Amino acid sequence: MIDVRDKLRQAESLGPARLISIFPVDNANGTLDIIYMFQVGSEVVQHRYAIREDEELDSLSDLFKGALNMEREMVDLFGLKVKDVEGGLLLCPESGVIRPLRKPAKQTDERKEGGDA
Amino acid sequence: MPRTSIIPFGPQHPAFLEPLHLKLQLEEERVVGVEPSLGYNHRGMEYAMEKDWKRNFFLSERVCGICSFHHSTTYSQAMEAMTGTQAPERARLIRIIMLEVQRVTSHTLALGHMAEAMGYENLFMQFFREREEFMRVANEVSGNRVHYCMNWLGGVRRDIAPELAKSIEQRMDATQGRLEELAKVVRKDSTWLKRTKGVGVLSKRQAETWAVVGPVARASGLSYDVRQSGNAAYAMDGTKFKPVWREEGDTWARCMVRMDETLQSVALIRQGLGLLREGPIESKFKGNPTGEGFSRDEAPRGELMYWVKANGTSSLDRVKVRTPAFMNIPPLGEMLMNEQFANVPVIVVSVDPCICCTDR
Repeated sequence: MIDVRDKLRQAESLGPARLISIFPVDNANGTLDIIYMFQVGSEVVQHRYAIREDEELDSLSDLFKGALNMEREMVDLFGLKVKDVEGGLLLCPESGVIRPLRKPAKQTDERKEGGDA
Repeated sequence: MPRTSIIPFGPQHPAFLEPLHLKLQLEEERVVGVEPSLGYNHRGMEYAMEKDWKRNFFLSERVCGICSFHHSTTYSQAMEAMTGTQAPERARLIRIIMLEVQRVTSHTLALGHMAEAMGYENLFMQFFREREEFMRVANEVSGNRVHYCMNWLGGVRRDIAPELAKSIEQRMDATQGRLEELAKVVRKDSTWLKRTKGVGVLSKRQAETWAVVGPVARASGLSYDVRQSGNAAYAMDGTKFKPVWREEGDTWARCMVRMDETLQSVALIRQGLGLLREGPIESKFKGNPTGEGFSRDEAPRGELMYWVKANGTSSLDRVKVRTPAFMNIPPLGEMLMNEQFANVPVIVVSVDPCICCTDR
């Protein structure tokens, strides 16, 4: 589980942090970058973590209640696991739409070679 | 022991026409529990925007019809940050003028809607009469009333001719007096005060933890406004700006922030027109962009953010849109707690929730 809290505590020493956004970026290779964006003073601070798609994220909703819906959106649209957070914010569980913003994995050189052979 | 009832508010409700559902738990007339649910209007805009970066200058406006220019401006600024393209000064000022025109149309819509929720039909019409003046200005500048299609990477596609600038200035003089009269009603009218003072309070601490933005945050003692800092700061283009904020945190404070910002926007439109100098309105960019870009803008409901990742082709790897209403709707649960059921529409409307933006 990634520890964004520690980074945030360091940033908070500069002044009170305001949560701007939390969002994932699919790298199309089974990993995603999770970007945590805060405003500290007049600066925008970004913390970026690469995670495996099956890795569980820690929720920030106990520190920032506003983080909850961002995390629910990540569960809905990217199929990520966030500790104690359920999806169902934007998608109905019974709709059959599963993680619509995930990308198909890019073919690696190894796979290409194997395929061609 | 009072009996508890469950009352649904929306997704179809006469006081609020957009599809927001609140599951209200009541003890007699008092709200003791709120469960908001969203997603009725989810259109997959972020997915659609990954298909073609050029199309997004127009598609981003379709996220929301009330702050469409803010969406396309923020997207354009994110793309400009990514490609290192600087929009010319005249283009930036035209953007400021249009942003402020649209802020007035949004705030007067919110205030008119608020009057309607209270049963003030005449006041609703007066707010909409003033709004129409700004809708016409937007129409004359862009050729459209809702989706302006003016922004492009490196500037804008429509200029403001000197005669039009003069005409807009004259109309600003005429509307300012009428808006000031309406501000007196919001500030002093006894019925308005009874329905809004001390109702639906969001404290400064709650506003911080819910990370609310825009007039909702500024009514709760957080003076934060994107127009003050960053790459969208108005001072960079020579306009003088100071955020409007209050400390009460109630429904009245949210209305007052919007009312004062409406008057401030009129002043900013005048400043923008006064600073316009002859010059180009677009910087050229060729090819497909690559890299990451990020921008924020103060939309009428608060901070709007676009984060874009490009891959050197016509498509994009990722577009993230963080809209202000997405942050401002969840704390409704805290604002409505222990309030009378009759106050629910007024409190909901005071947040100015936009479901198009929230669900995207």
